[in-house]
Amino acid sequence: MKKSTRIGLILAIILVAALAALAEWLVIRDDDITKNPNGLITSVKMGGAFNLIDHKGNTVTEKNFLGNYVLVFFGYTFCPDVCPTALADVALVLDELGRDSMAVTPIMITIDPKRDKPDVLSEYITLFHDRIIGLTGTEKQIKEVAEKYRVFYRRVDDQEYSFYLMDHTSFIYLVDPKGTVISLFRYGTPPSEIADTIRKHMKG
Amino acid sequence: MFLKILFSFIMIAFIHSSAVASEFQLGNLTISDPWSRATSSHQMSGVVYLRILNSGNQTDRLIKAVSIHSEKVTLHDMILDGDIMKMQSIKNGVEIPANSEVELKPGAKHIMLMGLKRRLDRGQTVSVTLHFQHAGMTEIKALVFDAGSRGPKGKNLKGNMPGNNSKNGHKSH
Repeated sequence: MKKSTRIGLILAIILVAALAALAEWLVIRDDDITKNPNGLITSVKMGGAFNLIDHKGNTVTEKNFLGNYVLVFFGYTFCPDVCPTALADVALVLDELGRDSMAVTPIMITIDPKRDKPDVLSEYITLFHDRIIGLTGTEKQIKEVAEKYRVFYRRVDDQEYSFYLMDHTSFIYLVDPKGTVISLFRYGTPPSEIADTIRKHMKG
Repeated sequence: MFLKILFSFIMIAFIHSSAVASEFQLGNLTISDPWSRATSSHQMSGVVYLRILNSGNQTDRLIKAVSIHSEKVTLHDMILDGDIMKMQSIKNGVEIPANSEVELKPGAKHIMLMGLKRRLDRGQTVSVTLHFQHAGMTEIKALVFDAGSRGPKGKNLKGNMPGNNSKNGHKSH
């Protein structure tokens, strides 16, 4: 084998390994998740600083939400099936919590910032609950926050129509008042279960 | 006077029941409880769910749907690939096996209205023409429920019924 071929081969192997590592880093794997009485927890560090725009057009960062529990989930308004169900679930969690719900801020972060401008988000989220906050931003800002929450999302085009859909991971994240992700909930977790978990954390 | 009131009650009942007919018959197929979800004015997509009972001895397929309310209607399935949600077009139609019922419901197979022409409001109906491989075609009218409704049989959501304002801050339009 020529020396240059060998170097090329080694570089290719390194590249493939690096891409595989990146792909693994980008999403939460089942192995990373364990279930305990306080919901699903993960050893993977998630969350942190972000810079986004809320549905009223104001710039917001993670600091705006410190001091309250935060329920974070990712979605997009073009999605007619799953996202409305998830939003309705979050509204039900707030109902279940009753007065305790004032200590919880629900946030939907769009993974479709191209279409989900603040006014679009605003009218959409208020269909579900007047306390839900919608966040959008530039494509770069959304990519950054999605990476921090290990959210996978991808635009999907279909030859059949001119519109596009998005594939995306569907966790709901519970963030504590200090800004740390403390629990995950899978799509379909009953709202009463989410509310119970939040109550347990509140009691500490 | 009394007769007049009675008559108007009967008329209201009649109009109401005809407006929200929940069963549509097409040959051996019975399409029940079609329903949809309210949208915002910016939303470009809507959804229709229903149940299809095939009481015949031959498998049928829902192969196509069209509606005056949107540019395009597609048959979609929500698939969970690990924790990633994917929407997939159902290329060969929705199979309705003989002597069985198939339900299109949230988080599963659904009819998607793409490129909504106008906002869908709670209480209105959405006309959709369904095309079946064997039974032919028929127009159904889906009743629009709240944006986050689980449908006519939904137990979880308060203020589920059209016209019933919930305390959830659901906006009445």
